[in-house]
Amino acid sequence: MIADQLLWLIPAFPFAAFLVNGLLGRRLTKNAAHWPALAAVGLSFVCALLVLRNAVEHTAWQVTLFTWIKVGAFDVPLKLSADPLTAVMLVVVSGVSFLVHLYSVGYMHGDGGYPRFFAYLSLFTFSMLMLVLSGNFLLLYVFWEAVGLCSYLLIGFWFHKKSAADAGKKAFLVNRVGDFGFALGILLLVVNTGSVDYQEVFRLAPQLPQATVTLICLLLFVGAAGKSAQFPLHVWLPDAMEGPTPVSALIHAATMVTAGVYMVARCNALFTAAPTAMQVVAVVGTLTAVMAAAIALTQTDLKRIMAYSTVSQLGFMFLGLGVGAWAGAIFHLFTHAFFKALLFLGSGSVMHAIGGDCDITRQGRLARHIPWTTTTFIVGSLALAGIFPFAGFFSKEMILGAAFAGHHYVLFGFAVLAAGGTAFYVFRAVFSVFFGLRDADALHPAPAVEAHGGHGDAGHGGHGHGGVHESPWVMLAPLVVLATMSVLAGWPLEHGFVQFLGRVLPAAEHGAVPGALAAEALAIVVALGGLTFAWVTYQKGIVDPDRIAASWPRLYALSKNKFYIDEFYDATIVRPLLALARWALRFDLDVIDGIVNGVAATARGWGAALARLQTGRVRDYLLFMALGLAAVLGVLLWR
Amino acid sequence: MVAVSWYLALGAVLFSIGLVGVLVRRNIVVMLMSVELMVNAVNLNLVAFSNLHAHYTGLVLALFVIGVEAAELGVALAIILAWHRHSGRLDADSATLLKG
Amino acid sequence: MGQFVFALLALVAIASAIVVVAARRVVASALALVLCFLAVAGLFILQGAEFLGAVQIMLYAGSIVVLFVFVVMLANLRGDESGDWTGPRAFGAALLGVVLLAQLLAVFARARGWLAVPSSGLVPGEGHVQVLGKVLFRDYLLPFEILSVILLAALFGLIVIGRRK
Repeated sequence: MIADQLLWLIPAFPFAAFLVNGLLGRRLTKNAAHWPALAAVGLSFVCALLVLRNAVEHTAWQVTLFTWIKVGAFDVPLKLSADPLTAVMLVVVSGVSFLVHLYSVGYMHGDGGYPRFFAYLSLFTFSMLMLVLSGNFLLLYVFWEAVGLCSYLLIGFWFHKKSAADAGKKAFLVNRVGDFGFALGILLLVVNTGSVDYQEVFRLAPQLPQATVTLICLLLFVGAAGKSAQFPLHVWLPDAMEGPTPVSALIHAATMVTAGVYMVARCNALFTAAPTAMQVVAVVGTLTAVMAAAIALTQTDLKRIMAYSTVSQLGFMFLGLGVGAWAGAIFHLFTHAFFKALLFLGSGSVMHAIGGDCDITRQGRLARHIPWTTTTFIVGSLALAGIFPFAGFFSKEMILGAAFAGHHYVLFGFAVLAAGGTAFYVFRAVFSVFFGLRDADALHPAPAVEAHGGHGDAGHGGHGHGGVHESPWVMLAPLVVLATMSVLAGWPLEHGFVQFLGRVLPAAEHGAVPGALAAEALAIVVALGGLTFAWVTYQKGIVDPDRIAASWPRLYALSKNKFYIDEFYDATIVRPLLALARWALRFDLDVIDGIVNGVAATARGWGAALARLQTGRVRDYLLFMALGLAAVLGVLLWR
Repeated sequence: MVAVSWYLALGAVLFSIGLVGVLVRRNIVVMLMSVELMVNAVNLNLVAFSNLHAHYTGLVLALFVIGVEAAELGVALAIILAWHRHSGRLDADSATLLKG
Repeated sequence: MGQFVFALLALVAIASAIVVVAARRVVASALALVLCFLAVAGLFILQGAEFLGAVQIMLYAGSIVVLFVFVVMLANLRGDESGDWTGPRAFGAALLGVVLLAQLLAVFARARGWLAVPSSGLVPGEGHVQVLGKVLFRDYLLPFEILSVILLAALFGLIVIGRRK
């Protein structure tokens, strides 16, 4: 059946591209490295669309490639499975990956590691696609780790830069903590159900005692928290911005970080059997959403703002999962992929325009120089803020509505707060960068090729190539596509989406709850309010942000310093570990090497002592011979 | 007549005396003389056993020993002379080139 | 009668051996060595090995000791080794010698009681030299020839070594 072949073809294309660019990149493809990668991802995208169509018609099917492990009754085949959830993820992953590949042609142009970049991108795409296609937990875990590896490789792409290398390490290590919990969860599943196959597990697990299921779900959620940067394992994502911007867009906005959400959604059978676990998920998600939004309010690095925004939005998704809005959460994942990727790529475009700077306090009034970037960025921001009729509005509404309808009023309240903050910080960035009170031209004078005093654009049209300029079409085209999706993915798709996913995901609470309409209205008002406040502060200058910061210095400091979480981890975990490592080093050098060296020294000592027998004097040798003779005779006589 | 064992005992005594001499004396020539003593003791033993078994093998062996000793001593003394010419000393303790 | 001769010869041998080992001057050692060889030769004859006794006198007492004396002369030895017999080395060696002697005697004692077989003449009937000649050239011809080759080689060797450069 052609559908079966599609399943393994989809990841096979990017894997082939990885091999080509990875093995031959330096010699063969060099500056044309993007061709195999683009072609591969493009083909995968087409196949993903075909899979989607097939899933609409047939719902679910599996394909077993071969038997991987078979030990007694424990049988783990390499099994790929497809259903509506998988189909949606495949389209998102391959689609956004394709756009990011295209964007990277322009953004990474001239970089020394050009083929290596595309090799890693292909490897990542392959891993993520396999993760989504996996039909059992073991395969899932393997590719879970694989995407973590690719994240490490890509974050630390410019590995000569210490901060980049450190960020890569941090990402991998924090992920590892989460993966540990994940592994424990899987082990518990195997122990209790005897299988890792999805269908088997989902059939058997709900019959287990609730404490067991709850524990399993909590452990699985630990893994999800690590991968999806939820509190307290969120600390790696902001640092991951050291990587190239396309990487941030693909991995840390649209795909890898959503793996946690996907996994929890996939395990809905387990979670619905453990309501306590779902509560935990919802609470952690909300907490993260609020905390991240609070931090984003005061950040000045454009990419950092987007990173915290991602953490916050992921929190929203987990809130959705936790209150039972399974389809809603996935829908938010879907829309978020588009507008967040758009925002990241747009940030990259801005940085490209002004030569690499991401500090929003050093920019302003760029709109007139980079109109395309500006427009698409604004579209993305509106979607993020959840303004009607952009896509983000509908997905966020689904989650908030389900929270309210499920009587989770406290969570609802905090989520609305976070939504307001979201609107504020994203438009703070928009106004500061593209419009606003400062003038980037004044802050970044064009290189003094013209011998005029007095810069600005008085009398001179453009600034030539050294000044602020729009990005090439390879970078703008993806922005436009993503912006279009940010508009279209909302209202037209909402109903069909939910129905489609409803075949495999349980439905959310509906019910007409009193005040539901008012709650919706509240959310809309708060979002608009945030936008307005940003406009008032950063565009019109009526409110002075510095005075606000000065009025609440401690709150401001908490926000600016990310609630000192990194410092806390550093003091409680990193330093003791480093001390332990240093102690271990000392132990190894002094004790273990000491023992080994001691043995050698002893041997040498004995050797030296014995060597003194070699006096060189014949008489001594004769003496020894005679002694030996006497000894032998003595022994013989003894018998 | 004298029992064979007395001859053997005498041989043993001479051998021991020779051994002590080799071990104690530093003068190479005297050491060599002590070695000759030991060899003679051996010859004595050989003849005694030849007597005991009424067989001529022991005698023949003793003859050969004497012959080989002659050859060996010739060479040894030549070496001693060469050594003396070279280093001016004849102290066994001074030949320590093989010191390890 | 035979016992008396044996005892006399034995004593001479032992005494001269001690002198060889212990004498201060090398020439004294050499002379004592001659005496010892003569005593041993006598013991050979006493046991009926006349030819061997003759050879002993000729080769050992005659040529070898002469060689020794020549070397002593040429090397102009003074023989000032007074320190030889003092110190732990001498004591240890003497002790070792005694121990070894005891062991050797014990070996003989163990072997077949205190061998009380009297030493008669070797072969009654034919003369000693004839029988020796027959055995030597019949049964042990090859070793005999090899011995002559050894002597030849030694001759070459000592000429080469003894040359003045």
